[in-house]
Amino acid sequence: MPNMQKEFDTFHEKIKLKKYDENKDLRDKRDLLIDELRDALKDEKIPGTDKSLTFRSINQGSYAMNTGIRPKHDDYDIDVGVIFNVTNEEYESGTLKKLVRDKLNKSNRTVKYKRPCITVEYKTEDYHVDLAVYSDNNSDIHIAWGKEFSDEKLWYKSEPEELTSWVADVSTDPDKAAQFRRCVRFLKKWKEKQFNSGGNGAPPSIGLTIQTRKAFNFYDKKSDLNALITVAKYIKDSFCDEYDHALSKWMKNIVVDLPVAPYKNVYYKMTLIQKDKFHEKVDILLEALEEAEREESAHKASKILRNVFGDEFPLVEDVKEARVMPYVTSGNNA
Amino acid sequence: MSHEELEEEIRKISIQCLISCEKGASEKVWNFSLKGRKIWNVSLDFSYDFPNRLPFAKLLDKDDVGILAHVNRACTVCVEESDSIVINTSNPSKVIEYFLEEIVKTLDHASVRINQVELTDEYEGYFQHDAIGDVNSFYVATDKFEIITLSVIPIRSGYLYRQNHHYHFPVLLLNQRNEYPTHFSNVKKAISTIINIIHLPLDTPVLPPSNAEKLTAKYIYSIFDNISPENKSALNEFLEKTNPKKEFFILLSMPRQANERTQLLLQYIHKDDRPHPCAEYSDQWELRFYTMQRNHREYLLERGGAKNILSNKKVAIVGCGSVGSEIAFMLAKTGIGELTLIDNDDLKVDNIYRHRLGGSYLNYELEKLKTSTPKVKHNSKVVALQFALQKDLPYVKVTAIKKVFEKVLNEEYIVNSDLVIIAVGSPSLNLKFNIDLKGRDVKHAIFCWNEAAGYGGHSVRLNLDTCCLNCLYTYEDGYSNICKLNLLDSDQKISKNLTGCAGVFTPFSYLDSSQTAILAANQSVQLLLNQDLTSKAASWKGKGTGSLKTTARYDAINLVDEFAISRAELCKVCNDK
Repeated sequence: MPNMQKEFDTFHEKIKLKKYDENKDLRDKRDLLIDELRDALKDEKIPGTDKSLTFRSINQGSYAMNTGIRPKHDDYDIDVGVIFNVTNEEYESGTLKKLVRDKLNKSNRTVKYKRPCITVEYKTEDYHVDLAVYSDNNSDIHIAWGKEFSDEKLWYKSEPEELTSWVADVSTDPDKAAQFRRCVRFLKKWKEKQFNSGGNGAPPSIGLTIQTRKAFNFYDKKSDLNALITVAKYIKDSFCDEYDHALSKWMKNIVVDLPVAPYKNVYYKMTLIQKDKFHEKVDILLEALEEAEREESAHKASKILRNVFGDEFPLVEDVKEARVMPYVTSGNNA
Repeated sequence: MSHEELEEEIRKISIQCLISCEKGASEKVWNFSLKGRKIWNVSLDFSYDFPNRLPFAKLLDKDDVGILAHVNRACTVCVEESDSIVINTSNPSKVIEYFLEEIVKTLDHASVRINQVELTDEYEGYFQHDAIGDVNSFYVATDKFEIITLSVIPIRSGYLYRQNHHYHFPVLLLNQRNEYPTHFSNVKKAISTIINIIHLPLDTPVLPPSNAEKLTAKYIYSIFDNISPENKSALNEFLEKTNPKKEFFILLSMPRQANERTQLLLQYIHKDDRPHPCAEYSDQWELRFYTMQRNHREYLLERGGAKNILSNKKVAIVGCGSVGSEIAFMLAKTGIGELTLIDNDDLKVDNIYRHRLGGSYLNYELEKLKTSTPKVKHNSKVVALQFALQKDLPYVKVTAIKKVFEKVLNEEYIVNSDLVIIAVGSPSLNLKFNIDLKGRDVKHAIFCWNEAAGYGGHSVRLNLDTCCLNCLYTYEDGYSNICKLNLLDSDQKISKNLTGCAGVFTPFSYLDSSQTAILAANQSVQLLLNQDLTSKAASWKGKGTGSLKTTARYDAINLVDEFAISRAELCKVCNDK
């Protein structure tokens, strides 16, 4: 088995997105929007009271968890939460979310009202901001959930900061935590390559992050490949059989609950067919990783891993003892 | 190698993966059972000059064809991608052993499911032998559904025609706007009857039909659905307006991991009108298909070893004689997008043994003039070169300026060029142009010239912000007429004439100019790729064809010599600026 750790390290350096603290540009962009919102809301009162409507902001998503990868088409995604000093009774969730949307809706951008957040897309910039709206609700945080014109609009108990901490607390050993973060990033690259970018066919990254975190009760300092094999096995084993009557066949289903409120299935958006496909792809992933681990030639192993993760994974040159081979390729031409 | 010798070599084979072997369909074909991730049954055909050539390998398990990468529909296993093999023919059994082991590795690798992507990447090659032929295409297939145009010619013979099938042969694919490089080759002649067809881009790659089956209308119909919602609605809109016909073409494409999309041009033929094959499945269609001969820029440049990155670079060449014309062709073939050629001379028969262009560009016909003295009109060197370059290469824009250099000095195409190359051959003019270019804030220039009679040549790449050509003429005690690069002593009788004073010329050959042009072209490319922006003098040295006196430098340098140029302290041109 060739030691591919050097290649995994190089690959990781290429794909990892730096933290906010190191990535001033994105940090500035985040702050600009938050300041703008604060300014736009400065005269706003909580209905029926003299209390000003204020909020505090938190980082969430992969930046906060330090598990981000550089986006494929340079469309950076900034995840921010804004926690308002209101109770669930003081505001109807849709009303507050709509207020945020309206305050940010300007001509240089498109502002979308989505189920979990408000998304601000810039016409000329290479990033978008997902802004989740929360009520502090006397330190019992709830998220404003639901689409604008849907009946399903409500305050949903949520623990965004607890989720970030849960992921960050994977280990007190910095080497172990670093390997965990690398594995999450590798799986995100796998997802990017193996699933069609449009639609909901791909498992959400938070699902992969949570499952990696749950699988991470081991540590193999010398081999990210071995660590990944353990994670892939864990994910594969977390599927269960379910009979699909419409298709008249057994399918694979998966339920993974958030470790914090609202404790719902992170794969809730995927259809059974999509989850079955997800299982097949994990199975193919595991076979590929195990084959790369078994492969004697580093060149062949790297070719397999490039088919898993894409061309950013380094190709190891084919080294043969050319002098003693019965035949060799020379590269000569005319 | 005789059958007996081959058998003897095969009997010597002793490798771990070999389970059994036996004679196959002929004396030169042997079947092997090999153990890898599973048992692989393959045949090796030694008919083709083994051991000077490797045998052909075929996979005998048809169930695996259409699933495994590197095995085509004819079951051929592609073991070595390269045809530049060196074989140790003294030990053929070792060659077979190694080849068999490589087959097992190839098939094992292909059987790891993640590697199926290598099969979808080579989808065109998988079916190559079944295609009716190649179709030239200037169309760049993206992931967007489009109506595109296809130039066709009607077929008026053959079995299908006699069966009342009225169909066409596809010739050239173009985009909606019918864009193509009009000066290139005889491409204009390929455009006759134009029909509209659809480009149907699949969203994800698909595997070929299983069990080595060929492409069928049924299989194709089953993959049509694999398109994005936007493309689907565009397709439906098209189908609503499309009447049944006897013939339809569809350009089918699907993504590959990198670079080009897979493309096949499908042709559906029937003697009666039928609905479009995307609208309704019918097993009545005769389905044929064609592979693509891609003609678009990105593909051709990379395929030909040129650099796409150079396609936005502009180079002006002053002097399009023997050296300049050669540089123009070399640079065009590196992929440079824009050349401006400046020269005031005509191409004459005197030139043809050392100019890049030959007799095809001369004119012997009298011009039909209204005046009483008709004359033979010569082609100018720059116009002839422009014509030749644009006919030879589709993606180079050439501007021909038939003027002396002094008249174009301030023109945009000089000032805004990424590089100006001076190949006029005259040292005095070189020094004058050096001053002119420095005065115009041109940053990068190359001066190049031959020594006489095959003794050598030079190319001097200058960053004019730091030094200049005059620095090579400036010594510790100031300016001299002797260039530091000279390989021949000055003031020798070098010129020749064959017909008197009017026919004076300096002897040098096409090979001399070509070698100098190679130096200049290499220096140009290094600069334009930002690999080396420094000032350097490169020289080549030849044996010479005369008995001329050579300089000490001639004796001192290797056959090719290069050194960095720095500013001469007393250089008047640099100091004046």
